[in-house]
Amino acid sequence: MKGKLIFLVLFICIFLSGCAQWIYVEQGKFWKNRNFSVSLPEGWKRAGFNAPNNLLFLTNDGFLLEYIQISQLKMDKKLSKTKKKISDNMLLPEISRLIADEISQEEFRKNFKILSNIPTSIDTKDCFKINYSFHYKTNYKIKGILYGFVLKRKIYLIAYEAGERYYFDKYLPIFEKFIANLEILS
Amino acid sequence: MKQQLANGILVCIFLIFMGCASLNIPNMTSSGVASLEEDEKRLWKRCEEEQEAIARSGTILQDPELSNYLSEILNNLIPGNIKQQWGIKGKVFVIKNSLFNAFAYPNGVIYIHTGVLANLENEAQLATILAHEITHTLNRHSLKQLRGNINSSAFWTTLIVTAVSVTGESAYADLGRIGYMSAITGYSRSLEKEADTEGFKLLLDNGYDIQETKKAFEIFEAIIKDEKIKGPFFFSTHPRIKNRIANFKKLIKKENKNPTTDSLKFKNNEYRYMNIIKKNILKNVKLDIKISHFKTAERQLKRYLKLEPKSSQAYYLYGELLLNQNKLADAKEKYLLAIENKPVYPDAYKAFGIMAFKEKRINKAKEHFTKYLNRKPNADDKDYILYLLKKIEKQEKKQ
Repeated sequence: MKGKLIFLVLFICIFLSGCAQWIYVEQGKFWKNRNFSVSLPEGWKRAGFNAPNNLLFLTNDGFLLEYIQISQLKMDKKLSKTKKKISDNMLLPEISRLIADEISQEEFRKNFKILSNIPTSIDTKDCFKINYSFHYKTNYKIKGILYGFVLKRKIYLIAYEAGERYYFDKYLPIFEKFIANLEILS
Repeated sequence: MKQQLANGILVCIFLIFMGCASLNIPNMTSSGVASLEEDEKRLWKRCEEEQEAIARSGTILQDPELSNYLSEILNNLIPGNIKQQWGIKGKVFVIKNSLFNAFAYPNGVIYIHTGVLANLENEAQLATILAHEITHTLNRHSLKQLRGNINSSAFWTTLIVTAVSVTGESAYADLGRIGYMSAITGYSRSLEKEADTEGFKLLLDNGYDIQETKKAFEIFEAIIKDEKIKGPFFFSTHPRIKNRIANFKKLIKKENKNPTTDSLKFKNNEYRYMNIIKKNILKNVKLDIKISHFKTAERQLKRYLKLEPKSSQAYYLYGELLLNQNKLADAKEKYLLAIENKPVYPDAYKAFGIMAFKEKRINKAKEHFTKYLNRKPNADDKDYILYLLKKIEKQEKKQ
């Protein structure tokens, strides 16, 4: 979560310095790293710069309106808000609750509500799926979906957040397709 | 753009004149005429807008009994008919937040966190906080701070506001913001000290046990120490807490109050306070456990269990608290107490199920999870329990 903030700050710095790099996603474009492979939504823009813990960041209309992000957290490292660690012996329901607690404590998320928190799977890998909503600065309502799973002693989080009005429903099928196409390679 | 620039210039001129604004602002209690000044009216208007936003934010605790009780204490503290004369709202709202904070807006609306209420011990301590906060309103501290800021940095403020107006934001709106933000982020040390001293007088006038003033701050001091809190709002810009306790000791001494005999003569209304507050203590314990404020959560649980020694929910939360600190055996003991006191209480079974699952005692885990779901068939985490039961089934088949 802290990583995301750092990412946003970095983004703003790069944007203001006139060096923002957004790579237009062409048809049939794949993103791949050591652990994942996924086809990217055509016509979206991918952030072409790196930030700590951020692996992939995509938006179509702008990141304040909607985005898809893959990020990672190291296990045994204290989370910034709850000051708790995710340890090896934690079960999926415990991890999902801890992550939900962590994101609920971020100051910019006002009136944070968990709409559902269920176990599911991505490419046969057990994961949690949290549906939530919150108000950004008290009046802009945002809805989000967060998938998370443990892989090689890291927590991987795949987030989709969008303005509740218009944007969330509009791009939800694209996010669902993104999740359905995500391959876990290792 | 031209219009925005013109607005900017207007604001510049306004601020330059404001730079000479009078700091000689009488307190509401001493002013002959109950009339708000023009900049003060804008400040109040901005506060009302902000308060509407807070009301919509979902952070306010909906507990009419508690809100009425708090507002009653507050209104008793406001002297004479100042409330009516000045149009002070005299309302207290509770924010669901376990951090230790309280703040007053210039129009007499006070916000207090559940973290403050759950840790205070009686009404006299609560009145200490409310008296301090309402003194900011009665002594018009926001207006004083606003004008003080403008006088001391008119040039820079002018520049900033001009820049804001050129970017298309409302410059006038942000003028108000400069004033009311001090209500939340804290006032100057001299104004905070004044609020402590004059708030103390309000407590005396209302017959509260003034020994409790320093005790309230000693509680906060202990929490700050236990949780290694570096800068909660309520203290970060206030005089250092030790100085404040020392100040209260001086004030008590000046009044020549005898701690042993006077506690009997003056009210602290502990029973009434705890009766109204107690249902919110466990809610606050959950918030504290969430952010790893374990010592504070434990202190609240111990107090709660003194009032409700058979509360299964309190024992369950105690178990959760200990589990979070990896004190497994102690946690089990508390979960057992939760079940002993109320055998139908479901959550402790889930906790036992998860422990047994981790210890690979799958039969026991299955038994506990089944008990949990039987007792709470619509549990929020039902899907996770079914997920774990499926895993158990798979393991049983393997065996």
